[in-house]
Amino acid sequence: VRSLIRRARALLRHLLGRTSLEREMDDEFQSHLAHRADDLERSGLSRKAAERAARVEFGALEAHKDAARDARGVRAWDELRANVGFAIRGIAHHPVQSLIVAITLTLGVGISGVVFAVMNALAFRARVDRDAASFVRIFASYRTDTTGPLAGRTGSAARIPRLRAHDAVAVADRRLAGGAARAVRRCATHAGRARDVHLLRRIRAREANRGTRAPA
Amino acid sequence: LLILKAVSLGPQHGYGVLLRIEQISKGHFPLQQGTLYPALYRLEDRGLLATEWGTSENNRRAKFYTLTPAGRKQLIDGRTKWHEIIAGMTAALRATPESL
Repeated sequence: VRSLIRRARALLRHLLGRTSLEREMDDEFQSHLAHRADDLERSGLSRKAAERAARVEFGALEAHKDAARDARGVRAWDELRANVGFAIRGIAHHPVQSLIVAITLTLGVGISGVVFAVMNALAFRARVDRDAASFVRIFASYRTDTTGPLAGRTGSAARIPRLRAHDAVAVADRRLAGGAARAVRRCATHAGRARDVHLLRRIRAREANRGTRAPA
Repeated sequence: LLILKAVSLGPQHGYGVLLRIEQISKGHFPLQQGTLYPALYRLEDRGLLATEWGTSENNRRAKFYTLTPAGRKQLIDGRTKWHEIIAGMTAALRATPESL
């Protein structure tokens, strides 16, 4: 952590003191070249030749400076500044086109967002809160599957613990008698679902017609 | 690590660090001169080196690098790790079918 703080502090110092940093780097590189030239001169070259040789040995000065800036972590900042500047100049150069592009993007993104929000609220979700019946119906048709857990079971549905409304409706749909209807009513009353209660009434009427014992 | 070692032998300016590295490594690591500085700056930003402008033995202005306490610790840690690597590699390379 301490080294991280140190590095952050160094970066901040470099960003605030860019010109002095650049000057110092320049001085340091020149100093390096001078020292190298001194050595080369001592080995017998003329001052001029020594200076040239020192520069050649050093390599591409600007490339090394760039690498040094990279090491300092200030280059990313430079590039960001250059890019933002470029963008601003571009906008200033073509204000009308820029405005058109901005408006197009704004409207496009905005309308898409609004349409999605509305569709999401109205159409993409089951409306359990306001129209519970639609919810029940989905499960009911699923449960009429003859391979389902209640397939072929008559009368005993009520004994299945914690039978849920949609299970019971499914059973009722398959024209089961007695206990199933009771289960439907229990669940329907519990959930307060008018549709289920209505269904129950129909079941009860059918049972009365058949002369079987009406559910309690 | 080489740079830290070179600087640990006494304050050096950039060119001096290069000469020192060449000298102590017996010429095994020829560095292109300009590539030294990014490394030096990185070490400085990590707080391992301190800098100060002064006058060189050639009577020229130069920026001198010295080891900070953190730099000294880093050097010792690095040396330890390096010896461990060498010991491990040596042992591994010496292994023969019989010695297993």
